[in-house]
Amino acid sequence: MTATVTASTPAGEEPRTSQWAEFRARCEELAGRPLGSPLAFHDFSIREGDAFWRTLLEWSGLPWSGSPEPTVVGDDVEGARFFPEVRLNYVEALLRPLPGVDDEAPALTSLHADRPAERLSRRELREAVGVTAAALADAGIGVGSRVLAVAPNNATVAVAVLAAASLGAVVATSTPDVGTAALLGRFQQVEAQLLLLDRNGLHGGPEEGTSALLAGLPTVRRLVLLDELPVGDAPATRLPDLVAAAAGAPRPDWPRLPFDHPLFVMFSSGTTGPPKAIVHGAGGALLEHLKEHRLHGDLRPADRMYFHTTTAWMMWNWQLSALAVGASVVVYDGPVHGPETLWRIVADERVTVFGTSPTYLQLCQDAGHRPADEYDLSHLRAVLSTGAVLHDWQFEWVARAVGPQPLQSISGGTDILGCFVLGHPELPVSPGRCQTRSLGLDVVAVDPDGREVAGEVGELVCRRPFPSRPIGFLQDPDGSRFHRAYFSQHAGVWTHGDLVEFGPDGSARMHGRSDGVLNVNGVRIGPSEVYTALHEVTEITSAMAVEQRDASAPGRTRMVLLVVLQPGAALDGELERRIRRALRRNASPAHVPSLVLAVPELPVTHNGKASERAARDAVNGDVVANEAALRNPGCLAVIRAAVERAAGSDEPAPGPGHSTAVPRAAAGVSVPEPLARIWREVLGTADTRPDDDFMDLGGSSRQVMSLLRRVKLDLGVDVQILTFYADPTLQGLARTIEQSPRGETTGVQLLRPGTGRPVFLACDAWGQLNELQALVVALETDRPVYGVQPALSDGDGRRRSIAELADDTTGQLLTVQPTGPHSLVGYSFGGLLVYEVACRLRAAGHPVAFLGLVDALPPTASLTPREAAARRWAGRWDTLRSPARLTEQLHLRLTGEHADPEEAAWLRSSTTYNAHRLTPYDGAVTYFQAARRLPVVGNTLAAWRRAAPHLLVTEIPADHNSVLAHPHVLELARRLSATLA
Amino acid sequence: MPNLTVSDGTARSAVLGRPRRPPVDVWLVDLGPDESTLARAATALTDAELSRADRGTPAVRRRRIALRAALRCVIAAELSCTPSRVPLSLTPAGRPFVPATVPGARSLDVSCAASADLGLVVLGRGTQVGIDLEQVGPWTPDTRDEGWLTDREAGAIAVLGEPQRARVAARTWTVKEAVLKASGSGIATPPRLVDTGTGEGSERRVGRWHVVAVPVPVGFVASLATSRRVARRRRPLAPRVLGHGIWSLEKGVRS
Repeated sequence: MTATVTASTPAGEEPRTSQWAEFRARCEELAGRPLGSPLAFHDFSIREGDAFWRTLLEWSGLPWSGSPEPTVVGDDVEGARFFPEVRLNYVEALLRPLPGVDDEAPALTSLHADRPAERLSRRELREAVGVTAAALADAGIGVGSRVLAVAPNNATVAVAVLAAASLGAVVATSTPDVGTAALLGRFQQVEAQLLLLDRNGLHGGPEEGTSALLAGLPTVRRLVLLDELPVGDAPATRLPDLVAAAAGAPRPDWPRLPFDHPLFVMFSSGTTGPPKAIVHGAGGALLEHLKEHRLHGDLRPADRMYFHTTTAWMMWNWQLSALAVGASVVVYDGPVHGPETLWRIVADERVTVFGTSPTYLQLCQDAGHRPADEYDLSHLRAVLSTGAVLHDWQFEWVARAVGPQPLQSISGGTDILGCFVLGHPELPVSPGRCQTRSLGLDVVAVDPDGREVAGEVGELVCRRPFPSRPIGFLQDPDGSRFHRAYFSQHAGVWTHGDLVEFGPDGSARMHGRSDGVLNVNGVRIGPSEVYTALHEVTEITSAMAVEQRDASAPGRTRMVLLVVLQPGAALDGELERRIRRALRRNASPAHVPSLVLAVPELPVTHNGKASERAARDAVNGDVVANEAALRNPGCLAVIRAAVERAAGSDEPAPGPGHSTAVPRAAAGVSVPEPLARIWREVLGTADTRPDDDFMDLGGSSRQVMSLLRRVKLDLGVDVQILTFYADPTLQGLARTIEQSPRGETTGVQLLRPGTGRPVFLACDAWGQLNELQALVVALETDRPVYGVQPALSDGDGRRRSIAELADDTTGQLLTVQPTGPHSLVGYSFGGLLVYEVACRLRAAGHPVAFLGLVDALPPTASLTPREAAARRWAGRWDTLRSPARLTEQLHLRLTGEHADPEEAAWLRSSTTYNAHRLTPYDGAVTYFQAARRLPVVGNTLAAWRRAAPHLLVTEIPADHNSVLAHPHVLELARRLSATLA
Repeated sequence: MPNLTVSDGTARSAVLGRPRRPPVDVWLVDLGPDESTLARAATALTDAELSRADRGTPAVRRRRIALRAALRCVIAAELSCTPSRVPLSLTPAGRPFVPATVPGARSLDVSCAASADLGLVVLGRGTQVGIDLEQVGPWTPDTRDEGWLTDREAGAIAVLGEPQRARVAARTWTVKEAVLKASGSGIATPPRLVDTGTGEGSERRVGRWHVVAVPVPVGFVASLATSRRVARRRRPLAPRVLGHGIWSLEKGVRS
């Protein structure tokens, strides 16, 4: 499909000359020839690079002093220096008053999920940065100082970083939720003297996390807190106190420093050794960003840019530079609850340029979200996407569900703090393609011999000097690491490590990483980080993490971990759990693989270097391009076979990194006769083979429900719907059942592995553990999560009393966790159950750490007669609210001739439940109340309070039936996670 | 290759100029055509669609071909192209759609459903659509243990008499499925999490969706979920029968 979307002009505005056209006209004068075609202009920008960059510097209106001559010294990419005689200050360029820009208009809007936004005008922002800079200068920060910032993406950290940068300090930023080990692996290299820290969401908790950071950063002499949490024992100063203490100190000037004065240290994972600490110069970053914003993005002072990023990603630095254009910037430090979160920000804040990732766009598409139907997006004029390959169907989705705005796929990297390929204000967008090459950057695709290839996939290289090339790496005194990283593959040119294909029109299609760096759904992971984190697992002699295309989700990839084990060791469930746990704890949840495979050896090249590329090709079933370069090509077939075996038994994971599937041989699954009989009876056919698809045999989705119920009743296994659909054959079902825990499905089951004390979740009486899936996925905790589901009736069908159920469950729970403190959460009926379990645990001397009831109604036997009457009335009121429902009810009453009153009562959450009287409990109880219910029902909380006086009630904006469903479950999970963490 | 077009009111409207078209059109499809009709219908399908059909038992194959051909015919009439040329894609969840970049398809959404030998195709203009159809089977107490009814739904069904129970249960199922199809979520969301209210009411709100009952032959129930309100007062949303129009494929009414 080659449909195109043309760049749009906002309604009611005359088409205007783009800044691209304006600047091109200036270059045409200089060149003395027309540069109208996109290729001609790009050609000029690289062949006459001196003239291009000098003209850009002059045209940009940036504040600088000195001479633009020479423009560039040296002509090799690795060593060239731009504008050695130019001096400037990055922060002056961003914050100076601009002609034609209202100094009082919003320049930085900082949105939060839990408190009102902060809005700073350009003047206020300049003022805030000024006083903060004075305070930091007072604290000893000046030209060449090194500063770290760990904070969520909000105005406070932006002001603090700009203040440090304005003094000539070099700054590295990250987010608090990165694991301590991963953070230290990066930040230790900076040898900074000051740490700016926001402890909200800090990995390891505010106190221990801070201690661990300080212990790992011995050069840090000063800790400045950006949050409002209690200071505790930390040897720290709050930023406002620091600013207050420096009140009256002279406002530091903005010193103009050399063009390549260090500004930011960025980190990029390498395939070997620690992450690279990449130093970027102020002038190069600034000029590159201005070029991209003004020429490629046509960004103007009237624009409001919101690029969804964290402080750990280069897009944070990139979006900040929009201030230099005079545009306004929106930042957000809250969670993304679901597809609507970011679009709502775009609509509410009247964002004109919105940047996001392919992963988020796919999330929206998968959820069936249609922003255009929900929000006023009339101000939005462009959508930008970066971080991973953006697929054709995503362009179609944006066209359909968002609108005619161009979707610009942009791609570059941390290594150049900018883009190699990106948007073009005059050209149409073709699905799946980036519109154009970055001006001034001689970017091409080359084959392994370094020859340019057009129209086919090759390695992305840049052949001429460019200003945003990093100055070098930290901890790399002779520059050998820097050379190896970018210049060792093809002599004299920058090799980026991405695969790209350029079309004859100059547009590009990205094809992912060319080296062993993993990019799993937008998160870049260096294999070396994975190896480091696995160090403690002594059974592993070597390991390799590779990216595999996810067959069940086109366009996504997942991580496959290949491990070579010590002789005698076997990859059983226990070892696999330890591997996952080690990765989660020592690195991050993103480092946990979807699949772990034991192989006898890993591919190694003749010079002894492990080849991730060969392993990745083998795992994906592709032709291995560098097979000739391998010392042990025979291992590839073994890897392929292991992947195929695993594919036969691989169950879909409940969420990223939660898979507990242990690969098994696909062959040899025997289908038990009772299962085959159920299969035949549900389908009403005798003619089936083990590999026949349920749907191909005429089965309907409704029949899937019958099938799974019969499996549960007759075979005692609760098969999840999604698991069944992953392989809807008799053989697949047999395999799932074989891998399920034996015996009763009722009782206590592990839903998600983890470390630390378990969390027990109980579902509704007639519900299945299935129902808890969304909650289990959304819970942010390292702790293992167990599901509690007691058998409601005896073998002879007698309903068991709540007391019996609670006794039983308490016993099972103590076998999983023999001593307290226990953490229990229950929904609806499950709330009553865990409440009674908690009573029993306390009576037996086990402390209860947390007891959460999610919208659990007390049994009517615990209500006063008045409360019981109120609840009955509430039921009637519920009917009366909606005339349609009333008609339905009347209709039901008139036609329901042989209603069996006993059965009705049984179904309406049962006499068993209502006959129960609550046991008194003197511990703390947190009650999550569904907010959307009649006020009168709230009164029945009194019954809970009578039994449990220490009842804390918190509201969830949902009704009883939707509290476990998206999006409300995210709010519930957030609050539970905060308590459980 | 016969010229596959729909030879009924839709085509006429093209001749008469374009009257304001309704936000949804629903078509009832006979999924039990004879072999020669089936062979003609198969010519509208892509190789991938045919091979998927061929994987099924003979009855499944017949239904898949007939329903997919019907879907293609309905879209073809809308886009003024031949059914075999309808650029049909599948979402990662397996739901068919016409890419928005196709001229005329910007606000188009389609959904289809089958039960026994009856099929339904719905085409939405400016509204998302999801449709589901279910043959009413005999009620068994097992149904409530299958875990897809909420307590309230199960309770309301329990107080009904025998014939109503089966019908209301089937209705409840189709409402859930229609909503899950319209939202694009499909099987990723357990049906129990869609609370439908209960009863046979002809129009209801389920979350942000409008759900209406679609009149279908005796023994079946069907529901349609839309993102916009499409039901019109005193004019029940009656499906048109595609059975005859579609199977006289070679007539080729359109010029």
